[in-house]
Amino acid sequence: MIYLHELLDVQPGMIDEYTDAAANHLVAGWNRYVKTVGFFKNAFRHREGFALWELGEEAVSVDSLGGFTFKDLDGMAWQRLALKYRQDWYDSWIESVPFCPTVEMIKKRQKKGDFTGNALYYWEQTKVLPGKMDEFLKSMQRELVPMEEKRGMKLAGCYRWYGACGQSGEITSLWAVKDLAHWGKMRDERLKDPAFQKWAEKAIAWRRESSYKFWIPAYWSLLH
Amino acid sequence: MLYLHETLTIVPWTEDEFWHVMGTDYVPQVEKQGLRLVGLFKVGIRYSENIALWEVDDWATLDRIREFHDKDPWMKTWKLESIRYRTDWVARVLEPASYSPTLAKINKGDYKSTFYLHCQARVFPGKVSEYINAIKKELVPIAKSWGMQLVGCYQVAAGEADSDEVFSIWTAGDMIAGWGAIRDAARKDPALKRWEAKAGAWRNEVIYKFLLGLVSFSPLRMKEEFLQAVKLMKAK
Repeated sequence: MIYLHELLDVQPGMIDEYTDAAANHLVAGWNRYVKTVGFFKNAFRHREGFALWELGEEAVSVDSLGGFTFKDLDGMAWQRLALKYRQDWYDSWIESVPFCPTVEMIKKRQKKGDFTGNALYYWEQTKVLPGKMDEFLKSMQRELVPMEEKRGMKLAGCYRWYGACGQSGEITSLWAVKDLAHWGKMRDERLKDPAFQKWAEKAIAWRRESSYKFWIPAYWSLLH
Repeated sequence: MLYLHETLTIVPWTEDEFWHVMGTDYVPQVEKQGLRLVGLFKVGIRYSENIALWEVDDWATLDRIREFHDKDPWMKTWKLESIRYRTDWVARVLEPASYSPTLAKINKGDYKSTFYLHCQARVFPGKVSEYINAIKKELVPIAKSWGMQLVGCYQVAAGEADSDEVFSIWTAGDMIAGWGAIRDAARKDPALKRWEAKAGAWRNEVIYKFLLGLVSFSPLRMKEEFLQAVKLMKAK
C-alpha cells in the first residue's frame, strides 16, 4: 500500500487554526482521493504538523492526486486557503512493509481499543545500512514489534521510501503511546529488559542512526 | 528528575523584551505547573538563538504541562502573543546522569558564570551509559583542574531529537580571558589528549555552543557585578 507522508511547516502560532481549517475545508474533498490515517501537531515544536494519508495499492493512486491539485475545485480552493497557514512542506510517498496495519485494519483494531484515546504518537525514522534492509525488517517484525507491543506501545505504521523526498535506507515507524508517563515507564522497562538490550546490540549491525518526534493527534484524525 | 531543553528562535531586536516578559509572565505561570527554570541563555554568538533549560519532577508532570500548554486559556494567549518575540521552539526531554547537579544544588552552590560551554555529543549506539560514566570518572576531575565545573550531564529521553545524544554543560569563565586560561590549561594537559583518544570509542562528534548567562532571573547566570556592568552598558 502506498501512503503520502507530509511534514508541514506551519506559520508561527497557527497550528490549531490550521488543524481546524484542514478539518473544515480539506478532508471532505481530499477523502475522495485518499483515506485519512492521521493528522497531528508536534508535541515538542510549536509550528510543525504531520499528515499521513493512505493512497492505494497501485502507482496510479499517486497519479490521481494531480486531479485534486489541478482540477478539483475543492482542491484548488484548499490550496489557496492553506497559503495563509503553512510556509512549506516536505512530502514523501512511502510504501508499507508487510507487517504494517492499513486503514481498514486500524479501524478494526480500534473496536478492540487500539489506536484510540492516545495522547501521543511516537515517530521514528531509522537509517538502515546498505544491504541490511531485509534482515532489519525481519528482525523488527519478529522481535522488536512483539517486545514493544507487550510493553504497551502499538505499531500504527511502518514504511519505506517509495518516491519524492527521502533518503536511502529510511524506515519510518509510528507507534501509539498513551501519554508521556506511559512513555517514561516503557523507556525504563526497555532499558532494564535484557531481551531488548540484546536486540539493540544486534541492531547495531543493521542501522546507523535514527531521529524521532512525538505527535499529538488532531481531534478528527483516524489515529488518536 | 527530568529536564526540558528548549531551543528558541528569537525575533531580532526583541530579546531584552522577551526576557522581561518571560520573567514577569511565563516563568511564574509554568512554575505553578511544576516547570522550574534552571537557565535561560543567549547562544554565543548566534543572533537569533536562545536555549532554556527547565527541571521537572517526573513524566506525569510533563503530561500536566503539555495539557496546560494545549488547553489553558492563559497559555493560548501567551503562545499567540509570544510570536512577537519567538518564531520557533524545539524541545527535548533529558534524563540526568546520576551525578548531574539538581536545581536545588545549583542554587546552593557556586555555578555563576558569564560563559557556559554547551556540548552536544552524538554517541555510538549502545555506548551512552559508558560515555556518561566516563564523563564522571575521567572528564569531570580533569576539567575541574582547568577551572571548569559541570553544571549538568544528560541523555535524551524524548522530544524532537536524534538517537544517542548526550548533553553536558560546563562553566566556562567570567570573561573571555577566563575561557582563554581554561583553554591554555587544557591544551597543555596530557590528560586531555588521553581523554580525546578514549572518547573516540564512544562518540564521533561534539557540537559546541557558548551559552551567555545574561538573564537576571535565570538561576544559571553571570555574577552580579557583571550583570550590573551589562545593565549600565545597555543604559548608555
